[in-house]
Amino acid sequence: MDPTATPRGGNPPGSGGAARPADVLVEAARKGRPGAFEAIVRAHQDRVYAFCSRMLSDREEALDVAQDVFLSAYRSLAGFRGDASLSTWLLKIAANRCLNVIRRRSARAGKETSFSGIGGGEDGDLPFEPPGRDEDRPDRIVEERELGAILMRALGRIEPEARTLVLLSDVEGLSYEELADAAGLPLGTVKSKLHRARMALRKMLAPAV
Amino acid sequence: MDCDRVRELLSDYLEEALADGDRAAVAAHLDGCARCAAEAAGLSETIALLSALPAEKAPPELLGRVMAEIGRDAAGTPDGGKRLTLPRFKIPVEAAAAVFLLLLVYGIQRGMPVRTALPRGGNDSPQTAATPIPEAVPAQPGASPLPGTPPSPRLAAKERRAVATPEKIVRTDPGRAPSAAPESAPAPERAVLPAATARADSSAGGPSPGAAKREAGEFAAEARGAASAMNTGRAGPAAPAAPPAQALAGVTVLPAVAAAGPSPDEEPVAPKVFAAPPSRMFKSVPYGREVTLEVVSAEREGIEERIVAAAQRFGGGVHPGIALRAERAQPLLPGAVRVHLPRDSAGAFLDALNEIGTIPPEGMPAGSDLPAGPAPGTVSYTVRIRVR
Repeated sequence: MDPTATPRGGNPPGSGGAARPADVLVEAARKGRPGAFEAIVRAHQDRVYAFCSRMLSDREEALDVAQDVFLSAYRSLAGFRGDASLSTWLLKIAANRCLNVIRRRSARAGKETSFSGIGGGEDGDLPFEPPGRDEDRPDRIVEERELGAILMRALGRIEPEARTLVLLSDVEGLSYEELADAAGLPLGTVKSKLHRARMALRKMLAPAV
Repeated sequence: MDCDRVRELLSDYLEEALADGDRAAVAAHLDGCARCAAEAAGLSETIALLSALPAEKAPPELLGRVMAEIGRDAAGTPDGGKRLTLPRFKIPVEAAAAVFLLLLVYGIQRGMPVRTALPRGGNDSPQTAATPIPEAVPAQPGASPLPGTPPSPRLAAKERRAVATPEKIVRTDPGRAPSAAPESAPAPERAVLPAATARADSSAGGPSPGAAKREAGEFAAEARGAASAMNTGRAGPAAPAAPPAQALAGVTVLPAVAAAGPSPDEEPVAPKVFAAPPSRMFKSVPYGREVTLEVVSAEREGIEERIVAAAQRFGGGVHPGIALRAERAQPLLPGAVRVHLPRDSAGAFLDALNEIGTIPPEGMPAGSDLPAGPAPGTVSYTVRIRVR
C-alpha cells in the first residue's frame, strides 16, 4: 500500500459531508417552514446515528442520543452561525452527547463498558486480544466479519476522547481544524492526540492487518 | 531524522500535512528503514479500514421520534415555531436565575445553623428543645412513610441532646410568653416543632408573641394533618383530637415530652432558629426518591439489613436519624428503609436492589441522579418493601 495515499475514504477532508443547500434548509427551518427540519433530519440521521452507535456501541443508547442531538439542534438553530457545515455542527453535538453518556456510564459501572455487543463477545472487561496468526485467515475474516468487529472492539478500547477524534477524522472526514473546533482543543493537541490514538489502534490491530 | 521522530510525524505525513522539508526527510527515512515503512503502511491501512467502515442506517423510528418531540415542543410553546427566533441567551439566563434562587432557598433551609437557645430566667445559655425525627415512618406494615424534613445531622444531634435532658424541653418563661399559649397547641406538638416555636420566640422584634404562638399552633395543627396524611406530601387538616405522639409508631417523641400536657406554670419557650420559616422547614417533603422493592415472603426476613448493606457497599448508609434509633435498640423500620449514598452510586445501588428483590416498573424512581440526599452530591432513597 502506498503510504502517501490519502487515508480518507469517501468523505473529503474538511467537507464534513455538508453541502451548501443545507444552509438553505437551515434558514428555512429557522423560519419555521414546514418540513425543513424534517429534511435536515432525513439528510443527516444516518451519519449522526452511525457516529453515536460507534461511539457508544449500543444501538438503543445511540438512538436516544441521536434523537437528543437533533432536538438540541432544533432548539439551537438560532445559534448556528454557519461557520462550520451543518453536519460538522451536528457531529460536534453528537460527540459531546456521547462523551457525556460514556462518562455517566463509567461513573455507574466504575469503568467504561466496552464493545461487548459488537462482535458478540462477552469479554468486554478482558484485555484486548487480537486474533492469532492462525485465526486471521481471509476465509475466516470474511466468514465472521472479524475485521470489522475487531476494529470496533479496538476502537472501544481507546479512550473515549481519542475515539471521538478517530471517528470524526478517519470515519467522518473532518479536517484538523474542524476537529479542533469540535473538541475544543488547540490544533497541535488535536494532531498529537489523533496520532497517538491511531498508533494505539494500529498496535492493537497489528496482528490482524 | 531518527525513527522516533519519524513515527511522531507519520500521521501528518499520511495526511500530507507536513512541510516540504519534513516530508522529504520522512520519505527518505521510510525508504531506508523497513521497520518505519512497515509502521507507516500499517498506520495507513488502519486509517483506510476506519474510513471504509460500512455505512450504518439510522433506525426508521428516529425521524418519527424527533419530529414527534418537536411537535410536542411547538405545541407547548405559545408562539410555536417563533421560538426558534428568540434570542438564545434569554431562556438560559432566566433558567439560571430560577435555579439559583431555588438553590439559594434550599441552601438556606439546609445550611443555616439551627440553634435552639432556650433562655431560662434571663439565662441566655442555649438549651435544647425536643426535635422530631421527621423522616420517621409509621410502623404499620405497608403504611406510607411519614414525610420528613430535609435530613440534617444537626437534627439528630438535637434529638440526642433532647434524650439527655428531657426536662429542659418545656420551659417557663412568663415574660416572653404571656397568656395565649395553652389553647394554641398542646404541649407535645409544640415540643416537637422547634421552628414553629422559634417564630414565636423571634417575635420580640416582629409580630406580637400571641400572634406568633397562634401561628405556631396553626402550624402544629398543620403538622398533625401532615402526619395523618402520611405520604401525600401535603399538609392535611388538623385533627380535632390529635393522637398521642406515641400512637404514631416510629415517630420518635420522647415519652417525657409526650406525657407532658399543658401546665399552668410551664410555658413553652421557643428556640431560636436561624433557618427558613416554619412553613418551609416543616413542609412535608418526602425523603429522597421512593423505590418499591418486591420480595417473596420467604426472603422477607432481614431484607432491611440487606438494603442497608447494599447502600453501604456503595459508600452510603442508613440515614443518621434512623441509625440513631437503631442505637436505641429500635431496629430498622419495618416496611421501609431510608438510605443515602453518593450520587454516582445511585444506579449501581438500584441494580443491587434488583438483586435483592424486584423493582416493579411502577416502583422505579423517576430519576436516579437528582441530588436529594443529606449532603451535596448524595442521593437518598426510601426503599419500600412489598411482600408478594
